[in-house]
Order: sequence, then structure tokens, then C-alpha cells
Amino acid sequence: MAEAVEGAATARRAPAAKPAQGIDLRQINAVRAAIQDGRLTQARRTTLGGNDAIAQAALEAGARFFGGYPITPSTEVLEYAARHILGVGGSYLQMEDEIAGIAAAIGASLGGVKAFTATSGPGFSLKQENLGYACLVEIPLVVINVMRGGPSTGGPTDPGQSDVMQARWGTHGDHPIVAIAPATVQECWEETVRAFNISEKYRTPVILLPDAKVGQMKEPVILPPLSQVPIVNRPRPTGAPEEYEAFGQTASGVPPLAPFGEGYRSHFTGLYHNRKGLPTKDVRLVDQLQKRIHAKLETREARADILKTEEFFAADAEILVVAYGITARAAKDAVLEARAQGIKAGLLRPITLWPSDPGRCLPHLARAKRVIVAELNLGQYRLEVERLAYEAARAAGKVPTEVLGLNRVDTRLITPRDIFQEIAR
Amino acid sequence: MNAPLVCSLEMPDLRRTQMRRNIWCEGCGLGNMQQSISVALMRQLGRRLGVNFMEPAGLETIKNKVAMVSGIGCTSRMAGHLDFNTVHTTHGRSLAFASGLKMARPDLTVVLAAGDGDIFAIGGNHFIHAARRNLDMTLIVYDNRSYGMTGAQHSPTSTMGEVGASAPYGVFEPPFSLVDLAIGAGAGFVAQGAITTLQEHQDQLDELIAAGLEHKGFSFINVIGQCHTGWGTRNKRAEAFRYRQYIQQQVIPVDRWRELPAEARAGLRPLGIIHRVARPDLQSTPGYADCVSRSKKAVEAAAEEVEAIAPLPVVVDLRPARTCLRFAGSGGQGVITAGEIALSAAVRAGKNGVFTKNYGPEARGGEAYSDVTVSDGEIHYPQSDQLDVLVALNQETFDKFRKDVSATGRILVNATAVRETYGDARVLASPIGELLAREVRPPKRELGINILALALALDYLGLMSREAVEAAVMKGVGKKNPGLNQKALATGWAEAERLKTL
Ligand code: SF4
Repeated sequence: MAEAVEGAATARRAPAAKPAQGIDLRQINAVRAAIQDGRLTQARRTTLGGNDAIAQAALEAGARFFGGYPITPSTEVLEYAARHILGVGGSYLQMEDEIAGIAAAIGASLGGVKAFTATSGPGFSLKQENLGYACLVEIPLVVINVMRGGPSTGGPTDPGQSDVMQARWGTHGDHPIVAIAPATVQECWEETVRAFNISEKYRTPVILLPDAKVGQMKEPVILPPLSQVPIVNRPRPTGAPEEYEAFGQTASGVPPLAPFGEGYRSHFTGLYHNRKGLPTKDVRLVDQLQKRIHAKLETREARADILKTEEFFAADAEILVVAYGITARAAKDAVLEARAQGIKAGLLRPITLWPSDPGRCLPHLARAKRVIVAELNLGQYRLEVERLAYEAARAAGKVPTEVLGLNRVDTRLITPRDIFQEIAR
Repeated sequence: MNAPLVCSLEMPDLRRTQMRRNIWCEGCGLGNMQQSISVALMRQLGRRLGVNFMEPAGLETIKNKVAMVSGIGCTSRMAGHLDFNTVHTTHGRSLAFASGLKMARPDLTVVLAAGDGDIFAIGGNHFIHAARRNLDMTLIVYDNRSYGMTGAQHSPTSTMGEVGASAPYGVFEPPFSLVDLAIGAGAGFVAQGAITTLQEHQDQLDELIAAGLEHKGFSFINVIGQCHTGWGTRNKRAEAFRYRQYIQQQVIPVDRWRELPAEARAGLRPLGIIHRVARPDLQSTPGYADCVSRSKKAVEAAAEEVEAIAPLPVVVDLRPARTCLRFAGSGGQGVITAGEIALSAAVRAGKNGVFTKNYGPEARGGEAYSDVTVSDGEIHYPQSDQLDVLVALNQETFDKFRKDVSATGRILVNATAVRETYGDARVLASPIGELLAREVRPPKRELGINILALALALDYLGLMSREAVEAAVMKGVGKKNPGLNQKALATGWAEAERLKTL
């Protein structure tokens, strides 16, 4: 079975603004796609671990500060940063705790330096307060959370996908969030670069959610030459410093962010603030601020940049599997086996988990007779799929499709056979 | 009016035009502290940058170069007042934010204003590490021995027996000695000032903060201040002036304090520079510079590992044949490394591959295994419960994974350690342990057993060339111990030949 068919389907749906050359990270398998249609003629070939690919991609996307704390199974990110970031003119600190790791990264980002932190399970819990700070204060920041099982210490070396809801709602208060789940080492690299670009362009924290299996696996990868890594930098102010509004209203909804020290002085506070960043109790401004930080991620352009879902034999699928990360890899084998046996099965693989992607999901959910959400938790993303299935049904004036969970939390992976059995049932 | 009780009127006002009204209670010493910080920054930075703060352009330069970071509480609101690059962060975390900022932007003058609860309770961990780490930052703490903003609860510096909102019958916990804590944690500059009714103490505070700013490295200035509206109201000093007098009675110049016998020091608090040692700040140490240059070399070396190619479009086979191998043994036998080398050999042989590892928290001795899947096309699921080959170096892993091997698969067992194989037809027994001891003769027991087993398994399967396997070994573990690894490879290959004839 050749991939050309699926590839063509993806290409047709690709946004019109596809750059004439170079890599468009909004595409599935972006580097390969660029090679396939001749936009990329030079490349680098190597073999990497998932966590190493993430750290390397961060540096290649321009990150020059890492703040972190050792925790299994994400420690390779810290260790890679420790080996390489000083050598490319950046810096890092292994902080005294997880809270300080993200805090230091936010501090560096305010200094105008792209920054990231990495953690797992318990450490992700500890980072939540400052993650909320970054949301409200609109700090570009990438948080890597290599998922293991939980709650509590759980199995530090075992894979899990149980931080999906924490990624969405872990910090208090209403806040927008972007969370991305890569499934291959190649994707670890591509999605990390995309995570930085989204975080810079939209001044928002982005969470990368590989599971421990993906973070710890090794695969050969093909990367663009350094000069062709697509890099986006945060918007900067251009007017007079007195006019600078670090939280002002702009056409895109994203206000410019000046690095410290260049005359554009501003205040940054986790209190509700006005356009200049100063604390306010003006109910109109408080309302505007919270709605703007959501709205800036909901524009057409933002959605095209952020949402990403792979449709794998989904076009005519009657039995639709929804899976992400390592579980989606098992699902692909299961779908291929089902197709070989004449069963119309397909896979929806959200690469961006949050926000979810109704545009690509609803038509399939409306058509499918049965939906199976396979994940290494007790049904977290299924809640979102149920919500989407309800929306799809309402739009089509039908009864919502049944959404079943295929779940596993015993530290073992869901296998292709598990999923196939569920499809064939 | 919120203006401080005493101030140097001739100095420019560093407050933002929109923030000319402080948020603090009338008469609070925070106004004095803000004034001292402003004066010290103008004088000290003016001198360092060679600009005149009395001229607008000079003042502008100073303001641009200062980053003020604060946490949560009355004191931390100072960052909002002052016209610098200012960050009002989360409770207790200001030093962590500031540390990242200073690492990324050593050119900025990083100043922190914080309260005692913020820095010494919720932020205590960050304080001791900031003092130890010695980044060039200045921390000024307003120590009113209570939480002011939340309404007069006791803090880690509250006096025992005094009454607070959360200590209604008196504080029953002993307080920190902040000065001793800072010195013990490694701070190179520790000073203490006070907000009293006297101008000389205000002038002294200006100078202490200026000296802290001048100090290269972490500097800490503790400012004894009041909270007359909160803590004061509950402890018979509800008026600002009365509270300041109370502080005034306790303070004594540090020189005189030092001369006092220990028992006479009780209840007295020294003012002045208490501790100052010159040592390079973190970013100026030779050790840090050395790390930078070594990291540069590592970056260059890593770039050489990467192969530049001119990629061609490919037709991707979605369901190719694949071979799944598992190397399993005890934690010290190098089965994870064996898997990594097998992947590297597969890639060298032009194939696709995935390596995954499994190890318990007890990885240092317990059981471990790695899986390698090799194919000419796409590999989705990276593991398999239908293994083509299981290499079991010990009995436990044979027992555990036997059932994961497909009906047509093979189980290569280290017969030296695996005694019971249940008459399984798939088993290929090889005395791997004995071969290692006899032919390779490693200096440490079992060193190289993974390479021997790997060479044996891959050669038996004929999955990739010996050249690819050898190159992968020599690029990996073989760099350290080429002789031993060559022997292990040769022994493995010879054994594969023998097994093939069976
Ligand atoms: S509550 Fe206390 S510390 Fe806070 S501003 Fe008022 S007097 Fe000062």
C-alpha cells in the first residue's frame, strides 16, 4: 500500500498560503513533504532519540535558554541542553526545583531570549502556576512534558498519556493553551520547531506532550539544513517607546513584545492589567484582556498555524479510531490490517491535541458508525471526542455516534492487535 | 499623601507617571525603601554607565538597563511603581525568574524587591540557591516580620509571642536569622538597614543598597521595616511613627554590635554591611568560561556526526515486511546498548528502524530489555508481541518473554545462564557466557556480552552486513575498548556460523 493516495488528500487540503519553497510545518510529515515536491533538495540525516530530537530542535528553532530540573523520562532534554546550549551562545540552569525551572525560562524569555523547560508527571504538576502566569502575561515559552503514568510518582520509566487533561486545564483560571503530541522522532523535531514558532508568533506558552515511549525511542530522521529551518520570531514594537503597549489591541490580537533594555519599558504582572501592563480593576479592561488572550488563538490564521490532525484512511471510514502519540502508531497498523481484511476503518490522529480540530474531525465523526478513542489513560481525550461527536451530530441533525474508549493504564502499550480486535468486534 | 516621611527631594522621581500614587498604606516604610532603591540605582548606575542621572538622556539610559523583578505581597508592588523593565511574578518565585533573566541577559542590572514571607517562606528554597549560585543580582527585602497584604499573619521572621491574625494566641514558632541564613547559603554581600524616624538611617540605606549594587555577585540587603496597620495594630504600635521608634530602639551599628558579648546582643539588630567577600559572580568564573568553550567543541563534534545528503522523493511502503528483535537481560548486561547498536547498524545498512527501551526504576540491576524493529519501509508500532527474535541473556527474561515470540520466531538463549528452556522448539542454545569468558576474556565479568550476543543474533538472521554491524559497534561502545569489542564480534560471528550448520 503506497502512501501517495493519502499524501495527495492531505496536499489538497493544505492551506493556499503554502510557501513556494522550504518547509511548511503545518503539513503532516513536513520535511518529507518538502522533499517529495522538490522544495527541499538538501538535508541532514542522523539517528536520534525522541528527547534529543526535541532538545536539538529547540536549539535549532533559536532557543537560547533552558531552565529545568532532572526527572525521568524527560531528563535527556536537560542533558542535551547542558551539553549544547552554551556552545551556541545560550545558557541554561539546572534549577533548585521544577517551579524554578519554568520561572527561569519565563525570565529569560522576557529578556528577549527564546526559552524552554522540560519535565514529566509530578514536575508538570509543579509547573502549573507559572504556566498560568505565562498565559496571562503572554510569554513565549515551550514546556516539554514527557508523559509517564500517574497520579503521583506512578511509574517513572513507564509510558502514559495521562496528562492530556492537565495540559488543558492544569493551571487555574480560564486560559487558552496549545498542546502538541508528536508520535515519531521525526515529529519530535518538526513539532518542537512548530511549537516555538507558534509560541513566538502568538506570544503564548505551548506544551509539547510526547509520551515516554516517543521521548525514549530512537529513529533515523531527515532534517533540513540549518539555514532552512523555518523560524518565526515574536512581534516587536516599531513605534515610539512612549506609545508602546505590551498588552495593546492589534489587528492580529497579538501585541508586540520588546526585549528588556531597548527603551520599550513595560510592566509585566500576573494581576489583571491594562494595555500598558499596569494593574487594573477596570471591569471592562479585565474582561477585554481575558477574552483577547483567547481570541488571538482563534483567528483564521492562528487556527491554520495551530491545528493539525492527520487523517489516515479516514475519508470513507465507518469505524474511526482516534489516537495520538505512541498509541496512534499502533492504530495505524490496526487500520492497515482492517483495510487488508476489507473493513472500512480509519484513523484521526490529532497532532495538536489542544485546541481540538473540529474542521477536520467533524465530517468523519458524523459519518462514522463507531468511534474508538484509544489512549494510555482512562478516557481523557475521549471526553473531547464525545463533545466533537455531539457537535457533529447536532450539525447533521443526527444522534451522536457512539464513542468508545480503549484504555490501558498498566504501564504497557496498547498494541495493534488490541485496536484491531476493537475495530473488528 | 503617600510620600515617604523623608526623601531626597532634589533627585528625579523614578516612578511611572501613571503610578505616582503608591498602593501602600500611608506612612508605610516601603515608600522609604523605594526611595532608597531609586537613589542608589541612579547614583550607582550613573557612575557605572558614565551618565548623568540629572539629565533626561542619562536617566533614560539608567531606566532602560534596570530590570526589577518581584514576587507577591506589599513590597512586590514596587515593581509596578517604578519606570524600569519590571516583572511582578508569582508568590515566592522572583529569584527564579530573575536568575533566568540574568543568565540570558547579563548586561541588565537585575534588582529584586520582596517581602520576608515571599522570600523566606514560600520562596525560601530559591533564596538559598540564589545565594549559593551567586549570579550578579541585588535582592532588597522589606522585613516587617509579617504578611501585610493578606492581613497580618505571622511570617518566618515574626517575633515569638507576638500576636497575628493566624497566631491569635501568640507566635509559637522560632524565627529565622536572615543574616545568618544568607551567609550560610553563600551570599557574598549581606547588609542590614532599617526604616526608623532618623534621616541617618535613610541615608545609610541609600548607601547599603548602592554598595550591594556595586558588589559583583549576589547581594542581599535586609531592611527592617514596619507594618503599622497590620502587625502593629495587633502589637501595640499601630502608628507609623511609634512603630519606627520601636525599630529604632533595636538597631545598633554593626561595629558596635560586634564588640558586644553574645549575651548582650539579645534583642539587638546590627545595621550596616555585615558580610562582604569578593568572589567572581557565576557568569564571570573561569569554570563557567571553560564550560562554554567545551560546549562549543561538543557542538562542533555533534555536527560532524550528521550526514549531509541530497534527498530524493520516495514511495513509502506502508505495510512492509519487518523484523522485530528483543535483547533482554539484567540491567548491567548492556542490552539497551545492544539495541541501540542494532538500530545504528540497520540504518547504516540503508534500512529503517526503531529502537525502544524498557527499564525499571531498578534499572541498575533489575531486568531490562530493548526492542529493535527493522524494515525497508514505514514502521508504525515500534514494538511487537510477535517477536522474530528474542535474545535472552538470563533465565528471568527467557521465562518472561518466551510467549512474545511468534510461532516461527527464534529464541537465542545464553545457555550459560538459562538452564530451563521447556523443550521449546524455537530455542537456539548458545553458551554465550562461556564463549565470552573463554574467547574474549574481558577484564570485568560480562563486559562485551551484549556485543557478542548482538553479533551472533544479527549474523544468524543475515539481516545486515557484518561491515554495517562492525561500523556501528566501533562508532559506539567500540571507541573505548576496540580490542575487546573486535574479539566479541569475531566470537559472535563464529558462533553464528556454527549455529547455522545445526
Ligand atoms: S499592609 Fe503593612 S506592609 Fe503593607 S503597605 Fe500597609 S503598612 Fe505597609
